[in-house]
Amino acid sequence: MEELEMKKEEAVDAELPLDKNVRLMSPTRMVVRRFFRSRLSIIGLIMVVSLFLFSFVGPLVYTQWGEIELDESGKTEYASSVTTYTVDGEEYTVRQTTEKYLKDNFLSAPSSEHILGTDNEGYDVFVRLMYGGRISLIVSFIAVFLITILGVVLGGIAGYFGGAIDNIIMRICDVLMCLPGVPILLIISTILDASDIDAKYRIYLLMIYLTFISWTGTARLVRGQILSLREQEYMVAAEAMGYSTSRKIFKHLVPNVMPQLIVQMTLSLGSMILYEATLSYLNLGVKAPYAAWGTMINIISTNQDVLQNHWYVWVPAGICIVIAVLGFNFVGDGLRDALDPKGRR
Amino acid sequence: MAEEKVLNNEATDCSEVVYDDALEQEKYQEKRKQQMEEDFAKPYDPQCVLEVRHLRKTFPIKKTMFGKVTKELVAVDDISFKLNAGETLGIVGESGCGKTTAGRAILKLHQPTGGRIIFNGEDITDYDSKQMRPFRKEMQIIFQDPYSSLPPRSTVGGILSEPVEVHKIVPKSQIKDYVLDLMEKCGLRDYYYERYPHEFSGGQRQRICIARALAVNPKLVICDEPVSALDVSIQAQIINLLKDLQRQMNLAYVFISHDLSVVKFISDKIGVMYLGAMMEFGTKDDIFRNPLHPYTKALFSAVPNPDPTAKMERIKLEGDIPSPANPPKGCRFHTRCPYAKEICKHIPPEYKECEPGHFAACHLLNQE
Repeated sequence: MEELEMKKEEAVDAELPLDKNVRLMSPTRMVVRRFFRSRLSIIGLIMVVSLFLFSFVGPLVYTQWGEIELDESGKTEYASSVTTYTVDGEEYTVRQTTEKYLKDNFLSAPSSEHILGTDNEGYDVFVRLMYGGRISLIVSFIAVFLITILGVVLGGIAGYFGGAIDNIIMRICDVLMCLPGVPILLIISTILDASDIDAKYRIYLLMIYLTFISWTGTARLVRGQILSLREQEYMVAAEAMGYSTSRKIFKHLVPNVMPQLIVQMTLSLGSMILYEATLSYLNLGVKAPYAAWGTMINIISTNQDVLQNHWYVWVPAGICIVIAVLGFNFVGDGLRDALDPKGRR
Repeated sequence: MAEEKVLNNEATDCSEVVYDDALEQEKYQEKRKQQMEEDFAKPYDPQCVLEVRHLRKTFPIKKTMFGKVTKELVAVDDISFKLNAGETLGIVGESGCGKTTAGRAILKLHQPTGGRIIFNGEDITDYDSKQMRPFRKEMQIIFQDPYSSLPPRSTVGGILSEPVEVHKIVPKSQIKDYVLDLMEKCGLRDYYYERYPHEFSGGQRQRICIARALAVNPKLVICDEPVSALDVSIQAQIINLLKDLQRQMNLAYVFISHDLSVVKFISDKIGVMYLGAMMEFGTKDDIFRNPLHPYTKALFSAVPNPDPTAKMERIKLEGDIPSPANPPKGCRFHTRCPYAKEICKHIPPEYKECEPGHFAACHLLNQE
């Protein structure tokens, strides 16, 4: 009898460690696991990380050429012409070759000297790709960072306090969304042209303008999320506990908005890169001699020869843009699926 | 003068009494106002943990452009009761009768529109959120839905230690021990400390909610249908847990429910609510042995009887609960009351003490 009881006790005890051994999974860890289960998001992550390494570490390792360093090794250009004319019934053919010595080694094909050749001015394309990536990534990160801060603060205030404040902020949003972005961008760009602002900084000013008109999406997202969270019973419980307003907002509301926010941020990184490239391509953003992916492609708009015969000047920049945008979108999609608690485990 | 006489004659000639609704309403309001003033002037009972006098909560439903309220919904209309330490008050009533609003108004999660809330001999009705802070650890709430009442992104340990930390219940170094002790009290194993709410079943979550409410050592806990979302076997566990804790910590409960058997098990006093107002109030024995109000009788007749041979006299209530946005004139129950008379349609009945400690609001009781 005693033995039996002993056994029973043991059984109960044995149950304990078993239950204890069940692996603990915090929501964050679960998200990470689900993220890495998707092949596309891993591909996206690899794309993004390698772009980062390429543009930030690359110039430190590959120091052969600088961003605005012309290859002045000179170049000989041969131009040959054949002229046929008839004198006294006899045909003469004159083959003429002109040898032209040029200071800059432009449009040279990929070689050991220039991995991706040089462009029409004589800059190294490969190195400029790295610097272009730097600009794109820095500018879009700054823009997204500012957009997020503005969006979270204003959307959070609107959602949490509601009433008249909410109304005012949302009407400002509506007004900003009505503004035609590109025409105003053109005007600002013209103004920047007229004033003597360093070509290096004009893209930052333009991106700040873009931030100013694009925080509305994030603000609406945050506001909607907080509106729905505010009605949850655990917020009423927090109220009943007498927590301070800042504690309620930053410890209870913001962590629950983070998932959507992270997704929104990653996805808008892609679109900001695209925006930057478009601006530079239209010659509104980064201007020569500074490098950006957009300006590198822009070369073909004035130079037919490059478009037809020198793919290495503009195709790599295009590929970089595609990799950047695709990478950020893959990561964003992967995060969205991973953060969705209703998604498959 | 002559005309008036004629009118008077007509009125007396009629076999039925004709009521002037507006006049009756005015009379009633005046009487009520007088009653309220009288009650508000009474001294506070220092023994009571909670005393509620003529609590009223309205919500605006129509506003003019300038924010003036033109129409309002009376969610809670005139509730009064006293509750001592270690006692349980059960509040029963249909869905939408204002039970939950009443509970939240007592905690000042909704600012009451009228009436007084006296907690431990201190009138807290007009305190702002800063003044309320010391009282927050004295009065707590347990919600109906254990799924939405726990923050999804913190661990059980985090959820339970946060209130302890904020209200400085114990020194920082002892918080973890305190919380583990509390978890054991509420039937939670110590290794749940690191877990997240989504890993638990409804019953366990409700235990976490109870633990959170008790973490600050309250004197009063409002239980807002704490077992309605759970299945029956778990209900019994939770109710027993609540009872044990009440004994250990000398808690006062306001137990809101629509389940009469649960209320009967846990309550000492019972209040029956209908359309925002208290219909009947008394001790458990008073209410269950001798229900006075027709609504209470109807509620009891709807409880299924396990004895199949027993003859059930079911009082069926016709129709739905009227909209609280425009409650019926006179007695608010007259539209569904099987015994309604002419007087019920016009004059609101008085809420009065029929037996010692047993209150009810019904005209029929006056005539008998």
